[in-house]
This record gives sequence, C-alpha cells and structure tokens, in this order.
Amino acid sequence: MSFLNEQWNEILFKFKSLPPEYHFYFIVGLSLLVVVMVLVRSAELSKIRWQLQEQIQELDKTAKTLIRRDFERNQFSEQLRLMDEAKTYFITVAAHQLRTPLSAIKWALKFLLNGDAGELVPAQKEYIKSIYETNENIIKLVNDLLDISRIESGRFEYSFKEGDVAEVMAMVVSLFSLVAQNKNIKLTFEKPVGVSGVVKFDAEKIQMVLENLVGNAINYTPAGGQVTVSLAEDSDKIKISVTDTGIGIAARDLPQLFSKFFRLDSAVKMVPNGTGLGLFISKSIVLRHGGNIDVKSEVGRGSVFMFDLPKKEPVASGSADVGLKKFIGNK
Amino acid sequence: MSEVEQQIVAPAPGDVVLVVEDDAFLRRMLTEKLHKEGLNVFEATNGTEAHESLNKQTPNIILLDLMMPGTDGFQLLREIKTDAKTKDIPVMVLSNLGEKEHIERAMSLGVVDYMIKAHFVLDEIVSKIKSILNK
Repeated sequence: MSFLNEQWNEILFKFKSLPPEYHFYFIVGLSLLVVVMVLVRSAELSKIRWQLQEQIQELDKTAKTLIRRDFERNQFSEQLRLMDEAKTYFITVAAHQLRTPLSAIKWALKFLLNGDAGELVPAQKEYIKSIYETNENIIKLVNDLLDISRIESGRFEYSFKEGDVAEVMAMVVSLFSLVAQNKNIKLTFEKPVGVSGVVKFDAEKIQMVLENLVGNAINYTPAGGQVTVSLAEDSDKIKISVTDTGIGIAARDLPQLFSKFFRLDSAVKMVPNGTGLGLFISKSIVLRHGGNIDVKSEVGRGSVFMFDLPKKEPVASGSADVGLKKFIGNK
Repeated sequence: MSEVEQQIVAPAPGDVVLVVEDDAFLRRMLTEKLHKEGLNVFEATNGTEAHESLNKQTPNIILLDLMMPGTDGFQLLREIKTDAKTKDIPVMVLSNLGEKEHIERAMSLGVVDYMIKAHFVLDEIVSKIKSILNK
C-alpha cells in the first residue's frame, strides 16, 4: 500500500511541477473524455429504449396473433360442431335409406317362408332362413350404429323412473328362455329373498344392457352350459351380474372389451355376425346411470359381467355425465 | 301371437285401406298382403296422389310413409288432420324413420300408431291394422 501511495504521490508531484498550460490541456482532455462517455452512454440508452420498443411491438403482435388464434379456434370448434351435425344427419338418412331395402328383403323372405309364393322344399327353406337371419343382423347393425351416433352426439335420451330392475331381469330371462333351451343351456334368474331392485332407472335402456349381456352369455357358452342372472344389493347400489360357463376371455383382451367394434377372434369364430357394438352401448348406458360395468373371466371356465346402479337419483349427479364423456372420448 | 290375433279378428268386409308408400316393391307386398286379408286397398305413391284418392273415397285407415318425394308424410299428415272431411280417419305411420323426434312429431300430429318397417314383418303390421279397424 505504502508503495502505491508513494507512486501516486510521485505522479502528483510530477504533474504539479508541469507547466500551467499542461494543466489546462489536461482539464480540457478530461472534460472531453467525460463528454464522450456521456454521449456513448446516452447512445447506449437510446439503443436499449429502441430495443424495448421493438420488444413491445413484438409482444403486441403476439397478443394479436393469440387473439386471432382464439377466434380461429372458436370458428374451428363451430366448424367441428357443424361437421358433427352433418355426420349425425348423414347417419340418420343413411340408416333410413338402408332400412328401406332391408325391410323389403325382410318382408319378401317372410312371404316366401310362409309359403305365400308356393311351398318350399326343406333345402330352399333352410337357405332362405339363413338369408333372413343375415338380413336381421344387418338391421341390427343399422340400429346399433344409430344408437352410437345418438350416444356420441348426446342425443341418446333417457327417462329415469322409479321401478324394479328385478322385473326387467325376469322379463329378459323369459325372453331368452327358448333360445337357451334350444341350445341346451340352463338359464336361471336368482334373486335372494329380501333383496330389492327398486331404483330410478331407464327401463328400456337397462333392458338393452341385459339383453346384450344375456345374449352374449348364451352365444359364447357351449351346449350343456349354464347362464345365471342374479341381483344383489348393498347400502348405496344394486348389483346385477350375468355369469356363464362359456369360453371365457383372456386377461390381455379384457381392457379393450368395451371398445367400439372390438371383437375377439374366439368370439368371431363362435358368432360370426356380431357387430362389436353391444358392450360399448351397454357401458355407455350404465355410466349414464352413474353406475359401473366390469368383467371377470377365465379362459375355458367362463365369464361374469356385472354392473351396478346407484340407489340415489342418477340424473342428480353430474359425475355420471363426466364418466360417460370420458368413456366415449367426446368433448 | 300375430297369427292368433289374425284368426280371432276378421276384418269387416269392404274395409278400405289407403296405402301411401313411394317404394314400389314395398307397396306391392303390402297391397298383396292386405288383399289376401280381405281388405280393399287404394294406393298412392305421394302426397298429391293421396289427396286425389281421398277426394274420391274415404278409407277406414291410412297407412302413411313419411319420407316421400314432393309432399312428405308429415305435411300430408298435417293436411289430413286439418281437413274436416279426413281428420277422423285413423292414420298409422309405416316408415323407416325411427328417431325419437320423428315419432314424437307424428304422435303430436295425431297418428294412432307408428311402426318402423324394418322392425316388423307383414303379419305383425296386418294384426295392428286389424286391431285399429276393430276399435
């Protein structure tokens, strides 16, 4: 330190001993330096200001773009809505146009089967029966597609009324009793004493679910097997299950089972005419009721499809709609 | 069930059915079946022809298709139900339109029944017609 001080003192001394005009030049030089520094600094500042202004303009542009994008997105969702409407209209009209020739075929084949156009030999009758059944399957497919279009566009209308699900179950079981008997399958309905199936539900839709599950159980169960429809109850819901001793479903296939158009190879082999839409529609219906549908299965042993319906009013809980929308992947 | 009903309920001889249907093959089968059941049939392929037929005779029942070229079924139905001469004739819709809105619209216009063609065979349709005629 002392060394630096000494040096500084020496410089100061030398400077003081210079002639006075050198002092003047030094002051002028120093002033010029300060002025130049100030000028440079202000130039820098104005450059920063200019950059900031540019950034503000940039931000402004971005904001405008965002506003425009939002507007475009609104327009886009409007276009999507219109497309969705067009799709629904198309399916409705196409269904009508398909049903007209299908009903002509249905009526004409029945005409032939009744012997109204002359008696048929047994082989002819067999062929015509097969065509009739195939035609019925196409009609079923058209109906399923219409239902799906209704489900996806939110036009599948429900009317919830208080009633006894057990009555619908008994009716579906009796509806299928002949089919089961013809296939040599024991179809039974079990309802323990004291269990009540009274809830608020849409009887027509739950009947569709039950017809689907019982129909599947019979279809995928070999002769000599058993299908049991049963009702149970706990404090907040009723539980319906359809148990069969059929071919069963592999664990890896279970997650996709309720997807649209999904059909197992083993199922296609056994029932070639299925549409792959029944379980999708069934799950949509159960979810709309605020319930759940699930399956347990073992290959070669059989399957249990079970669903529950809440005892509290289904329309009152908004969560039912959320679950349904999540399932059908809509909006 | 339909066969049993058919045997019990015989149509009054001379009951007249007006079939309004644009599809020629369906119309032919309907007419043939109704003739076989002892009913008199008049045919119309669209609204205009239906009006012409209604000007000439009063049927006991009208079978009405909904989707037709020209005057469609709904319009024809409204005209039938607002004309004092025809408003009391029972109208049964026989269509392949089956959306809830179509059914409700037809019901609100005063039809006695609504059948989706593809869901029934002719025997079932005839049974329904007979039960309406016998009311």
